[in-house]
Amino acid sequence: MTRLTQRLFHFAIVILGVTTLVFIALRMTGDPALMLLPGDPTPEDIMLARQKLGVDQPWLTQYITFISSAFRGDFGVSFQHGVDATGLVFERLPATAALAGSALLLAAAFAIPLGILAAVYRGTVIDLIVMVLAVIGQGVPFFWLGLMLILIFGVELRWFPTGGYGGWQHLILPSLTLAGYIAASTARLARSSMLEVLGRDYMRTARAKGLALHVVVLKHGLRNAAIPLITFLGLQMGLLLGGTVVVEEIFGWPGVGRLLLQAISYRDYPVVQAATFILAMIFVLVNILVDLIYTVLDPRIRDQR
Amino acid sequence: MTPRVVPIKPCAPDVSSEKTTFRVRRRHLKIVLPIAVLCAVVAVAVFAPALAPFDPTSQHLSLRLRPPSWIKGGDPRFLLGTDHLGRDILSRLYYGARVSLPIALAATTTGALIGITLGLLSGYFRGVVDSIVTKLIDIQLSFPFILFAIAVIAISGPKLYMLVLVLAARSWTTFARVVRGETFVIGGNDYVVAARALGASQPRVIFRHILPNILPLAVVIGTLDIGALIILESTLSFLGLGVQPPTVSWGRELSEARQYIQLAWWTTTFPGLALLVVVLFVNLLGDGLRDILDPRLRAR
Repeated sequence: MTRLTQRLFHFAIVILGVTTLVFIALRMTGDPALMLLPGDPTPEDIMLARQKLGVDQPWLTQYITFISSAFRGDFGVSFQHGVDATGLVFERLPATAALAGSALLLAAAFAIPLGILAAVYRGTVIDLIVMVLAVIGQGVPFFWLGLMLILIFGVELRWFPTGGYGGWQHLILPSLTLAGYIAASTARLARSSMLEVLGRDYMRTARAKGLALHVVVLKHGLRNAAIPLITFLGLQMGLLLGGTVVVEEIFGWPGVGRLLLQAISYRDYPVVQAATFILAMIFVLVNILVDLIYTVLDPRIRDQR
Repeated sequence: MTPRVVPIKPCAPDVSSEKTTFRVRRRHLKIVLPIAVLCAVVAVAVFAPALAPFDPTSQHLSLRLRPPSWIKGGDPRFLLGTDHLGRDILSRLYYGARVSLPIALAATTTGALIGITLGLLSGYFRGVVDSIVTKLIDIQLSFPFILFAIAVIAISGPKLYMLVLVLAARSWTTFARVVRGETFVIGGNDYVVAARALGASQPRVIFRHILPNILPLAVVIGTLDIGALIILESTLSFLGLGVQPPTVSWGRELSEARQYIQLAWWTTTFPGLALLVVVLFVNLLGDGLRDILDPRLRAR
């Protein structure tokens, strides 16, 4: 059990560090009162607005208030919209979750089989094609991939809408874009971890006792190769969550990322803090989940406890 | 000749055999093409004012959104067409190279200096230094970096040095992690132990005996890192958080062109292709260098 508590402690530090950083960064420049008031506000107007927003307090007071209420899920009221910031973020969360989730599934569904194929048929044309695709994939800026998908499937072929939110058709292009962001590295890792497993004695034994190639690869191989892969995918969640910001912006997808970008340009402190805090929490929860999946997959880790 | 203290790594194969000579040459061939392409890109960047047919900011408002010259309606003076303000896309591509490459290089160098130093210290002294450095790396790796970058730049304002610092903050961990591991290994080698037994000071051991053996690896990491940083820079510029107009950058270009995607495919296609080509060949160069400089990494 010590491993899990150690991890939890580590993640708590991460979340605290991230929120502190955001808190400091947000207050380095820019006065939200000035951003919100229309026209030429008088000094009195500014003072009043600052008081109302709570930004007239010393930083330390603001920070302590912030941390203590953050862990109650209370980030205050959005400057821009006048409603509860946490509520705003949670409203947008399903859209982001749908996008990140389908992208992760898409990437895993394409990249892992391709990586395994490349490893099993190492040195053949299959391997070459997969590796060339992966190298090109790693060179493509994913936001440009999104633009190209819009251009081809949205503007030219008119198969899918170029943006917005609605049915599954709206989800296809954004999640393909986001999947493209992590597919290449996932395929490479799937290939190299499978290659490592393929060279093991137990694989040869399994083949020698007459099991078919696909049984050996999928049962003996994949189960062992899955451990580094799952850690990797857990860490990729960080990239995915960051990537959603960009993809949501391109496709006009009404998720947390777009909310965050808007909030940043308006210096809407409560929303920025709520969004980063909640995204960091999700990332941490996913990685704790990954830790738990490990123990199911790998008895060696399970028995350490 | 003075005796060499630093042993040469036994990575150079036996050149006497004809077969291996050929293999070495073939391995070297892998970096010839990337180097040639990247040299061309650098040349374009350096000589952009001479090469570009137009000033990248000069507008031809009567010639807005003209397609590339080989397409009907294209103007032969604008090879790759014009953007929404009638600016020549080719010239803007040339000038864009002057921005993306230096920023990525500066960021990687900064990241390398920080990362190598911390990696050496933590790998050599271990103990407290090591646990602090590893914690820092862990924290950094366990947060969506782009969120951090967006937050910091959005707030500090999109200044060029902030952009470089943020990119460097992304890059140092890679250096630190790998250098730390290598220092562990090299620090245990007989010649390092011997140097210490002969009374070499700690800085001398670190800089004279360990560092030279790590540099090839650092070159490989650095090259592979530049590609990632070019993409990150263009992403931030695309979001309006990186390079600011009137400075031309490929990422910025794409964000402006985005609104005209229905009307003019060329405005979004070419800057992205430029990015793709540069990043692709930087990555290929990194892969090739890795094969040559560090055969142990080749399996991955």
